[in-house]
Amino acid sequence: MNFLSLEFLVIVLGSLVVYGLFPRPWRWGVLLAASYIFYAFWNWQYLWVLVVITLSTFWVSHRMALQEDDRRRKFWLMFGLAVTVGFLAAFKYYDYLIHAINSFLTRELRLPLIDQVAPIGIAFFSLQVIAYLVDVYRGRQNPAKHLGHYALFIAFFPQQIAGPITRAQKLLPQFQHLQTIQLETLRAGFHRVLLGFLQKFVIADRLAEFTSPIFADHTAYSSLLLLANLFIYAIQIYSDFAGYSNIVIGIAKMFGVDLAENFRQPYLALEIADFWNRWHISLSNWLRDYIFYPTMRFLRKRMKNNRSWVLIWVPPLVTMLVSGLWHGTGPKFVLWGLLHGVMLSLSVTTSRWRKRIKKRLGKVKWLFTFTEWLVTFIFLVFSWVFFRLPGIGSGLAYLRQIAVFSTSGGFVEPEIVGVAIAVLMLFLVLEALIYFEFTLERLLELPLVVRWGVYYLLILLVMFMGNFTTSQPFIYQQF
Amino acid sequence: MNRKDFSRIVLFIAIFVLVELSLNALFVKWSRTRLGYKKTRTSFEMVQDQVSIVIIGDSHPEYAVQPYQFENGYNFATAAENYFLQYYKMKHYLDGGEFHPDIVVVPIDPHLFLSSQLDKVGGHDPAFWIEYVDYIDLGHQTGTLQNQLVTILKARFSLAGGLRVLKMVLWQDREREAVPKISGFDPWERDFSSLSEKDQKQESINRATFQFRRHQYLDENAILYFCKLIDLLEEKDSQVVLVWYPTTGTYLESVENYIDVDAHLDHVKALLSDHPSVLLLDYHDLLPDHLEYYADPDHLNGLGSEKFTQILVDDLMDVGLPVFPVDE
Repeated sequence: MNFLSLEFLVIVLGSLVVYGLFPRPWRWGVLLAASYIFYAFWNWQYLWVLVVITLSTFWVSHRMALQEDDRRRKFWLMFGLAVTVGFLAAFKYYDYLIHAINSFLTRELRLPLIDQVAPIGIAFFSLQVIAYLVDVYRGRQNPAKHLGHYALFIAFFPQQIAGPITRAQKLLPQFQHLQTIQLETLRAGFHRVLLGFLQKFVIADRLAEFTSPIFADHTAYSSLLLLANLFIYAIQIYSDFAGYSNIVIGIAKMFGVDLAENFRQPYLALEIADFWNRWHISLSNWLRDYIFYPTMRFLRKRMKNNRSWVLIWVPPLVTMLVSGLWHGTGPKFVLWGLLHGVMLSLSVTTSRWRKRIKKRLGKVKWLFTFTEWLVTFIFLVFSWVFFRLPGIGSGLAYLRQIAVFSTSGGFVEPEIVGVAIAVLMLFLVLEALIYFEFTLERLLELPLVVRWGVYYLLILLVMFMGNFTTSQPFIYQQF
Repeated sequence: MNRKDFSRIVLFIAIFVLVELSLNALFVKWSRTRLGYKKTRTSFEMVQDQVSIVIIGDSHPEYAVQPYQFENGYNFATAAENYFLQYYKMKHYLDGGEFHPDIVVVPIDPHLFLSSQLDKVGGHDPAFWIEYVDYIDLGHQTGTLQNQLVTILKARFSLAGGLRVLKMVLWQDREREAVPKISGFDPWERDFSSLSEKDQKQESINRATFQFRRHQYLDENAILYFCKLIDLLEEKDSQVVLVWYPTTGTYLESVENYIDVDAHLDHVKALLSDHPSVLLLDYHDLLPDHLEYYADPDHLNGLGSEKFTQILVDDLMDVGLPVFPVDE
């Protein structure tokens, strides 16, 4: 089911109406039922995974909280993590590993495969559950009191497919005190959904018409076109995921629920660490809190020298390696993660040196700042090649094709180029408006007639310009 | 939320629907005068009472038959027009009372019997087809009522994704503008033989894969509407001529990976047990190696259509049907 299907519309509108009609104590039930129905539409055979993870980790968190002894608490934490990570590993990584092992074995000795598509959203809700268990273990979070609220924390339908990964501290209190539907929250949610639709269906999916054929057969195009295609893909993937995030945040907002924010103009980042504070923020924060800091603490306890290269290089590399593997199996994601890890470490290593240069440059330091931005942006654009293409080999072949400066090759149909240029201009306008904080909320200062006129224009723009015939599934949905 | 807020939301939606429907109506009307397949309809309606031989179907007949080679002919086939669309289109005109064809030429190419054909109905410009197709009836007949309701929605809100139509109007149809349609025909001037052997083979594989992969052959709904179409045409006293159009040998080889091509004709004959007067003409293996007659693996080009139409006219005359070639 996608965000433009009749089923999804029925679930959202139906839930809003039923939610509004039910008394407050039962509203969580309405949302939970809608969430399970939504999940069942994707794949009802996997509902049990959701239920088993919910029940087991709810029970584990309570067992953990009851223990005085830290060893026992750790035992229950490990047990809960084993269940959650076990499901994730089994569905996402088992087949890949077994494939690799089987390639060394004779036919008789080959191990069986699960050969099933992973339950949708498992990579996202697993991270929420892991964060919850660790926080309960660390005493930062009380175990959820209400099983229904906890089940909703895992299954809440707007964020089910691809996050944002929202922490229990933020979500559980909101589910305990669900609000009535109000015009203000409906309007705020509508604004986000509208922005999300513009980003997803108008910008990302129209740009996909340009990029998809080129990625499918990149050997047939000139170097310049391949280069331009990479830059356009960078905008496409950002608009796709930011659009998705805005749609789900907006839908949750309509029910009065605030989800974690996911994007803050990532391509304005001056260095790679800054990028990860702006891109997929909910995942970056998770990685920071549950991989980076623990690794850093672990190493610091064992290192005498606080400025050791190990402390500078290992935590970012480990964190980004986990990030790469979280996105998918296979060497290309490992490489992508490692590239980001190396850039992160380099950015830390050179930070003092860069600050010193900027100080010396005085009035022209903007030139250095611009160079920093450019280097970061170009790195990001080129790193996406491994993300998009099926393997490292094809990624390198793509880059090689750019490097040979080939001038001959196929061309993109003029109408697709024309539309891509128009869409890129729209993207720039939208980013400028966001940068200057000229959001749709500012419309509230205008008279009703003007406001509604702008709404109608934007809806018609989405309807007319949107690509609904060859609309792509959300890119991050696959993770 | 109080009653005032609620009323405001309802008013907002009502105004939006009204604005959208009005713009949609203007858009559909505007694009109708510009798009090729819509022009075909307009030109057909001007001459429908004179048409005695009509060619219907999808792009295979659309590019294969030159109707100006025989008197009162009209090629009314348009791309992706399957049995579901053919049935409702013919019903629309035959029930209209002005259209009384003596001969209707219907395609029987294997891809028309695939399960994918029904799925295509919703994606094929519903704003245009809604004037022909009774989607509710189609939904009841095929058990796809929910899908057909969505198609009706798409038709009424066709402005959604309308950029596609605008692009077609601005670019794709510009060339067509220069070539006036004659009796619904517009030849495809591309020479498939100019491609390298490797590219010819690859294009054939791609084409067959695109059409046949993961789709069920001899789909019950496609058969249902094929039979309904024959019933309808015979009920209106038209002679039905079924034609399997020529395609390249490499294409047929690729199709063999998915279905038994040799058995196809027997499957069609089995469906015609109650229709003894239907004439069946098989040309699928007529020009397999003459690639200069093709625009792509499964469509004839201008040269091919000229050659094929001569053969078709001769064959129709041989069986005594009232077909009169136009003198040069």
